[in-house]
Amino acid sequence: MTWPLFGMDMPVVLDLFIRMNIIVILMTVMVMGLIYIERKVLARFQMRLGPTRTGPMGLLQSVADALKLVAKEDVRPTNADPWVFELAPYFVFVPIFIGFVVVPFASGLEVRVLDLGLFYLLAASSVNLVGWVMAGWGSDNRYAIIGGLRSVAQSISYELPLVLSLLAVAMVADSLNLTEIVAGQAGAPNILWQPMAFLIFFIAMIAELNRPPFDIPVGESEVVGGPFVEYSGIRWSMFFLAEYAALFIMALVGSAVFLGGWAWPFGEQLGLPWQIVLTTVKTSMMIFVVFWVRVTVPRMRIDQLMAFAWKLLLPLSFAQILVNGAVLVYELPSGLTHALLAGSGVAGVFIMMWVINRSVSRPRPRPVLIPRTDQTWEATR
Amino acid sequence: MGGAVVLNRLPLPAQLDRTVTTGGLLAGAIVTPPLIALIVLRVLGNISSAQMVWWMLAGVIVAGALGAVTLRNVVHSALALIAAAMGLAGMFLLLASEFLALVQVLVYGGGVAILLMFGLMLTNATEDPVVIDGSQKPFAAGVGLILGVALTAAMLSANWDASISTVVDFRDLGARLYRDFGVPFEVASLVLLVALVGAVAISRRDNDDDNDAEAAS
Repeated sequence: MTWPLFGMDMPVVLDLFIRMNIIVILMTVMVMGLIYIERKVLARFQMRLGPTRTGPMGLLQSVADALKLVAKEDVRPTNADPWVFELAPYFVFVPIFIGFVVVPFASGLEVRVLDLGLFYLLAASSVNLVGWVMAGWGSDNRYAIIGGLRSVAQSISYELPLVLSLLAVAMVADSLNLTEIVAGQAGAPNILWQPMAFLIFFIAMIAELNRPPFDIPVGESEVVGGPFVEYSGIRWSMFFLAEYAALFIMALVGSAVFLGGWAWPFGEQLGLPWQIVLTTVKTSMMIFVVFWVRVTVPRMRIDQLMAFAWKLLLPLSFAQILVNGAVLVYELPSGLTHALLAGSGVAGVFIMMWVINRSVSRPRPRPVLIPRTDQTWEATR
Repeated sequence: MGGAVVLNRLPLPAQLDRTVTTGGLLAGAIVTPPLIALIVLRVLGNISSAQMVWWMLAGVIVAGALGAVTLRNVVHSALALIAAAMGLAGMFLLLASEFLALVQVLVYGGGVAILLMFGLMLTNATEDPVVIDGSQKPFAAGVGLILGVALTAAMLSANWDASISTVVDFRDLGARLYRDFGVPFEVASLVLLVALVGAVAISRRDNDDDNDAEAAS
């Protein structure tokens, strides 16, 4: 069995090996670039300069960091469970990289086209939750285990809106194949028909990635880094690599599913270079907004986070799926279908904003001071 | 462990972890011979590629299941269960049933993580592990025996030569599940819903007085 790669026919195993290697190398370099860009963007938002000393404009800062991390001693606490502690980084790292198999960078530029591509991606990336728990438990550290517990609670809650919003789009696109979804958007991107699904996807994506304002599992001021407290050197850098790779893959999927990926506008007509430009620009936009949200919004409390997921995002995404099903099953004329889909999406966005605005602008209940009596003093002791 | 003592005396670099190295060597020593045997059989042409992969997955599943039962530590058991679940997903892939394989990974990936949480919250796993080996042991053995007999009987009486169906399209699966068998599907989901509401009702009963949690959110 042979497979064409770069115009050559080669055995299927060799072909797979080369493609996966390209992905891993590309990702490692990409992550270093992302870290540099994040530091620069963050610095500009905070009226600083960011890294400037290492190389021209601080460009080599990430390389220096990577070298330092690789050279650092790999410490394991005496009380840590050796197996769980040592294996946890792989459980975080491998599922993310497995997901890159189906991501379409440009027309024909993916490792494999799977019919269930979107589903495959979600299934693969859900495994990395186990790695977080393993890291939290295996470290035998209070902060680490609290971080692990929080990350499970948060990831399970936000996985549902994430999956459901992607499902809503898959219903409109009539496919779970990522390449087909992208190719089907040559006329107009899916965000026009499913604006609310995009909003829900974006919020749930930030929560899944444990990035601010949803960085409760790894909040530095509360649990000093969460599950990663005890990790150092190369293992810690693997966690970091997985985190940024996950950011990149989620941004890629978001741009492919909602923003038209390489197909819109004129992706098919203008050829490969323009397609790569489109993918890069859209993904960069998504990543930039993630950074932007990070510097703008303060960290949420865990009860606010849970209420937001279960009381707002989940019902709205269910409603969107119901509307989609009702509209699509009757096979109305195309214009009416699209008008109904877009109308319901826009209405959903307004409902969401109204609810958020209402809960934000509601007067805060003042903290009640309990007068200290002998009984309460005894109770608190 | 004897291997660890030998390793401790060898002049190895300090970075090389003794426990992990010993375990890795042991695991490698156990896994390598069957693997070599399988590959030799494949090269000689005695078994097909599918059979080779089947035996590997079977090894993973059996090892994971045994580990889940025999390991003393709750978390280690749960992780062994993940290995068994992933092996099962591989089996589904081998049977060309992509959808079931992915469901297996999605459901059991998250499911085992929740199981881990329960293991952590309900037990004291970091301290010396407790062996729960109570008076229910004979009943458990009986149930296991009956289940084993039933499964073996089913396997022996099954018609394995039935023509193997081709790959089922994902759309057909959805249409069958939601159109042709819609009612059973809804009934099953109703059972889950009842369980969910019951769990919430039981867990909310204790703290009727903290209504401020809802007001604050």
